[in-house]
Amino acid sequence: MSRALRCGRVLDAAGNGVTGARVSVVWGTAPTPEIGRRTGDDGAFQVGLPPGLFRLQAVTDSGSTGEVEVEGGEGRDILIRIEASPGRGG
Amino acid sequence: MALKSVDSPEPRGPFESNKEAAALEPREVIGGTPGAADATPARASTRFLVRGTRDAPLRNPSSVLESILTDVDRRKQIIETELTPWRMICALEITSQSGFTYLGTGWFAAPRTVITAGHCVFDPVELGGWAKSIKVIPGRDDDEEPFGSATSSRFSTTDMWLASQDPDFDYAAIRLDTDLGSEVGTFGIAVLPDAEITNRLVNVSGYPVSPGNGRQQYFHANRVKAVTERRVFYDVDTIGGQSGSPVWAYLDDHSDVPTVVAIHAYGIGGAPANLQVVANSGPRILPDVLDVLKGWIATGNP
Repeated sequence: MSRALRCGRVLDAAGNGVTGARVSVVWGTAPTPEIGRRTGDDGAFQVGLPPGLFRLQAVTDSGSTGEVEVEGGEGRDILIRIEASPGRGG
Repeated sequence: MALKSVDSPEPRGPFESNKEAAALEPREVIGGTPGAADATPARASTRFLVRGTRDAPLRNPSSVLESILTDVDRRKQIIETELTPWRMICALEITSQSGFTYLGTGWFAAPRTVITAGHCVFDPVELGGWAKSIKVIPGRDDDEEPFGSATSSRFSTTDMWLASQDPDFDYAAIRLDTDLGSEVGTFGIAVLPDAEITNRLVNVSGYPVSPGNGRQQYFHANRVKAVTERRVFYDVDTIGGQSGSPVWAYLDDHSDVPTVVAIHAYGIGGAPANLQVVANSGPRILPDVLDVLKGWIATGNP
């Protein structure tokens, strides 16, 4: 099943990019490799997603997390907003 | 089917297998080595590691949503990462062609050969092809690197992974210029027939992004839930960053040789619907896989 490369950003509560956060796919309806991602400058990351539904999670150095559910395949940039405790956003 | 080893640019010589994959072949094993470092057994080894087979899971799953297969994350942090077998397991920091950083796990099969998932070294989508470089840190524990580290840009995988990225063929090797594996030791590797791998209790340890931020080693163990011709599915919690982790067993009740029977690569979404299991998975060590690994091991000695 072919995957599409999606760009994304991890944002803090003020909307600033979070550098060094870890991003992974924690649930999905199709296989995705269990590789981890570390955000670069401005919280940027990339992820390859096949068609399906997926939940991505970001974790910061302090342990704060953010989650988002997205449709796989081609699509818009993915934004993960960090919250004090795990939640859903988009 | 014959698998062909494929190297990253600057090829180091092809290796071709000549055996067919055959799940019913007798057990075939290559031994590991304990390494030259401190031989004191880790307390976590006697407390956590599992052996043998079991008809039922060690703990019954109560919900089935994620790669964390139950309502409680069952992984345990390994503190004594400088001791065996934990020190044979490496945190990987992977740099893609476009400069993004990815996190994975690998394990020593030879002094200069680290085995990992194929997608940690070659992924045309996320890595832009071959990884630009990979930093290998055996036994990492946060900022502690008890055996140092090595960075490599020389990798090998199979022609099947290179051509199709088929999850059944998702494994590869990182080639090092230093003998880190002589110090930390190497895993044994085994081909187990269906009858021996069914319900086998297996151990998985690696460097997840959560918890531990890819800097701490986490472990869990449970039983094999299903096998297909080329994959092993197990009731073991994992998450992103653990790709490439060894899935190992102890082949005899009194054996102290950790022996890899699969290479972790996929979370729950990787289980085919027709298996009707909720499990994480990785490609199985089969005769043709072992042949490829032997080639990578033979060229990974000083």
